[in-house]
Amino acid sequence: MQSHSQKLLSPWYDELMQLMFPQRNCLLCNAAITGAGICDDCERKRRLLWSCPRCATFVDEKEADKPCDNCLGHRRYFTLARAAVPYKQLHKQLWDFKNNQQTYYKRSFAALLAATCRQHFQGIAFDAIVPLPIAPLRMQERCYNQSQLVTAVLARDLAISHQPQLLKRVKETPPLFNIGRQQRRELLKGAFVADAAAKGKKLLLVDDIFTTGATSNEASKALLCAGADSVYVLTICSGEQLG
Amino acid sequence: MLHMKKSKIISVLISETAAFLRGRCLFIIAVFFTTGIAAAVLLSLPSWVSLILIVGMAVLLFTGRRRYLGIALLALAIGCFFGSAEISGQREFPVTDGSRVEVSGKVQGYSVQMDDGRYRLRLAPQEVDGKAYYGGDIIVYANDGQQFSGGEQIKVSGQVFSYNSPGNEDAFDYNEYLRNQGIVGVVSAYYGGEITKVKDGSYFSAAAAYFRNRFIAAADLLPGDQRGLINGIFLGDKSGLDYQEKNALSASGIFHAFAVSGLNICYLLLAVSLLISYNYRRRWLRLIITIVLLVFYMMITGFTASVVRAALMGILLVLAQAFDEKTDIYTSLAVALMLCLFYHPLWLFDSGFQLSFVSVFGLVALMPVWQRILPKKGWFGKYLADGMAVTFAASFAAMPLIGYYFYIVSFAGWLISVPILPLIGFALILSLIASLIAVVSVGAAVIPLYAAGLIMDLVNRACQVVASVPLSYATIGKPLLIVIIIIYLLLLLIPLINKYRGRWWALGGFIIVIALLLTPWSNIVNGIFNDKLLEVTYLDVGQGDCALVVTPDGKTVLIDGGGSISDPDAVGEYILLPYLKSHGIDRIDLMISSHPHDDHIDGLISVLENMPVGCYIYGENFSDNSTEKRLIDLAKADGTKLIAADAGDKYNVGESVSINVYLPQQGQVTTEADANNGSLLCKLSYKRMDFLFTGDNDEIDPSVLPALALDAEIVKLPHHGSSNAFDQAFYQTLTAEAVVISVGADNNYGHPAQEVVEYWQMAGVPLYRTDLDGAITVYSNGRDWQISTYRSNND
Repeated sequence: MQSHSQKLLSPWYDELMQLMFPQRNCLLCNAAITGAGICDDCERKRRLLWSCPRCATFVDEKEADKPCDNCLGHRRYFTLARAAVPYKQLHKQLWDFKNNQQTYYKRSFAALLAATCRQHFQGIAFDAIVPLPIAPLRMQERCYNQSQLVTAVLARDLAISHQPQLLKRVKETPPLFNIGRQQRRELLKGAFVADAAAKGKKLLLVDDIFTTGATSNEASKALLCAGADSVYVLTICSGEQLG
Repeated sequence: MLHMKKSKIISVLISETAAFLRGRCLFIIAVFFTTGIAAAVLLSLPSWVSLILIVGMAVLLFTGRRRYLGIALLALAIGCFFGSAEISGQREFPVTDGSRVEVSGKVQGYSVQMDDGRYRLRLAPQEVDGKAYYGGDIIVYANDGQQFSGGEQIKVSGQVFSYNSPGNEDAFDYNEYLRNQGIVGVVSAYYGGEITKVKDGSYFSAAAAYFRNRFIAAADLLPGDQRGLINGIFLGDKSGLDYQEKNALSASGIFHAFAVSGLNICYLLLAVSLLISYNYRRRWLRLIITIVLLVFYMMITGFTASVVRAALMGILLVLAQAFDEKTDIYTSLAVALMLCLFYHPLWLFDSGFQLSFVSVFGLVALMPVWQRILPKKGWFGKYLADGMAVTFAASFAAMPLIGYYFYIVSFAGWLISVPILPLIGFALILSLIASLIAVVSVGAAVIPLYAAGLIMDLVNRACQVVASVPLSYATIGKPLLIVIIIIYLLLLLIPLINKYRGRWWALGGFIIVIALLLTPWSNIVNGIFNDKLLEVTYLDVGQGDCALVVTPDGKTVLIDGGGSISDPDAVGEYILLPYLKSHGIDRIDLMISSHPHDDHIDGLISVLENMPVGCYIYGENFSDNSTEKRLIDLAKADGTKLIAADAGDKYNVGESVSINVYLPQQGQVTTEADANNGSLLCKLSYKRMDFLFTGDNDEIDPSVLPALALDAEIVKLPHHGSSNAFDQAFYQTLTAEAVVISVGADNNYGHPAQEVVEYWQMAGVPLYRTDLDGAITVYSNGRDWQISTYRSNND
């Protein structure tokens, strides 16, 4: 449920923030722009990228008609996953956002995701946006869920209900970078539990990085088990499969 | 950008400006708002004009298609309204000078002790003579022991008075200064006045006052010099600094650090972050603590412009963190600017306020340029380059304004700032700790405070040494306003020059900035229209004598220096030295004192202490006089050539000007009590033009003088026109074409005497008086002369 105050705030809160604390540089090339996000040039280039037909992995144009290595031979619970840009273009900003408390990136990332959502999920009427929860221990260290900071802004922008309570993380997992595809799946098994309120809903699941898709897949599975109609995944960046 | 086509330069300028302004809505609004205030004040727009403007712009905003233009113009109109409301009659104090008045209101800031030991405070009156009052603040002068602090409600009965407007060109205008601070009247409770406290302030302001007083109590235990320096950096109370300290600090460019501001707020924020290490969960706690501390600090320092600016920017910084945002420094600057000007529109014309904003703007805009210019390699790049880039950037931004207000350009300042700013920071942190300890125990607070005092002493000494090194700074005289504007436009272009032409071109830009500042434009402009002339100026030094001569070949002669019995330093430091500096004079070639009385020599002492003097001439008859000894010793210490003169001596100044001494007679003995009549009498000649200087001689016997002595076109009448010196026999021997009386307005001696004034009126000789005419300047080419007075030029 989107609270009443949130609805009242939404039209002018972000505008006020932009007025007082303007963000005016392209996230990718630093050119002067109005508002958070990326410049027109970078947006044009971004739209020319090709992805795997199923998941968010970026692929070469000629490989774009067949599933990528991550999807091959595995069941994908989400309907479609898409990412805004390849990881290598944003890794520094994302690192600062997650680990150096530079939370002001949330508006830029939300703007980037809104553009990506409008590009790939045009015409899909989502019932709710759900941020991917982070592990409880990490939450204790970091004090904020980077995905939830972004989805709060994104929900206001896309006028979709923001419902972080639909998905909970119940199992502790170590950081997943440097861990192989197979092991990730094992580690994540049963990590998420979805709320019954997800029943019958078309959901947009948002995370920061899509590497092999193991996390999003597991979360989508939990949501579907709780009766969700379908789950679409949107991430800020994802890996690339080249050549 | 050179070698580019003109059209290309323009298109680059437009696109770069557009890129800079993009997304910075509040910055644009602030620019229009500020322009509105400036326009309304400078053009003295009446309030109704700006009200019409506001309505017109609002209509345009809501009906027109160009919404953004509408918002900008509305900001302009609102600025106009604020400016015109501030200068309109409604803000004026409704009581005339000299009459008695009863005022009750709220104390603003704190009582400040003045040089004479009494106190001054700022009051926001709520009632004047029983009637409600909504105008500007007033200054109240209080007797010893009557100290009040911010927020307290007091009742004052006293006398309204105002300051004399200045009588010399480019002199500091105290009335205008008060006006810019939002002060519209002055009430003195000195004689027969009374101040009573009606109500205490709020707990918060009482706490701030307590905090401040405890700190001052601790600082009072320090040696004198250190106390002034510590109060200067921590409380922004510069009244404890003496002229030489101030002079050395500004000559070495350190003085702006004493306008407590950015540096202090930075260290305060640093202290908070050490106290509560940054953690996302504690961001609201941090926000609240920071805001409380900064407001508290603003109260302690009495809401001075630079502190308010820096504190507002600091609050925006933590506010942004709490809301997961990042500040854009130009927008923060604009927000701080608008908030300050909403409250005090006339701060816009305050030099401290301007310096504070311009320095920060320059710091941000020019630092990247200096970072590119300075080498990045080795230990220099590792430890020094960034610090230097910061101080160089801020120094260059402030330099034209400092030149405009203080008439100097500092070269050593940028270099010495690099080691000194961290030292000041260290002293600040120690003071901050001391201020906390002082709440518990004043005695214990002295320990860290003494360490801070020692550091500041070191800083002060370093500055004095630097300021005494030749070429560490240049006295440039008052620059033309248009030159300052051109320099700022150039400084704005330098980041673009750096971007399109590289760092060496940018460095060239900085060199041009210095060259433009050092070029004596006003002399060049005058030189085009005038031949080389002799200039003799009888300065308005109040009750006293002071004449400055600038010869056609640029030599300077000072004949007496004015002074006052009550405040020996005042004339020298507030009138004479600023006048000399504003005219680009940093050296006196020949100094003459007529006789050792305060109203003739106090200013000379200040000059000897602060400027090189080539040669000092005094009357032979005063060689053993104890007051004269002081000047002789000072001159000796500076390596000034000393001459004890008597009748018959002749001195050449430069190529064409000479000075003949006619009194004292050889072997004349003068007692201490009769010093006036031992005055040195001399004539300054340039070709066929002669000026007679008579000192305070009451009894001039024309028969002992050669006939030539009295043949002068311009005569300064003896002894301020006193009746004692009214001597028709002497007057009749003069062939003067104009006479000058150097005298203070409303003096206690009744100078000038009625009969003196009447004599010259009857004789049909024009009489000029410094009390009525202000400074009197005679220009001569050696044959013809022309006289111009400050008041006739400025009224």
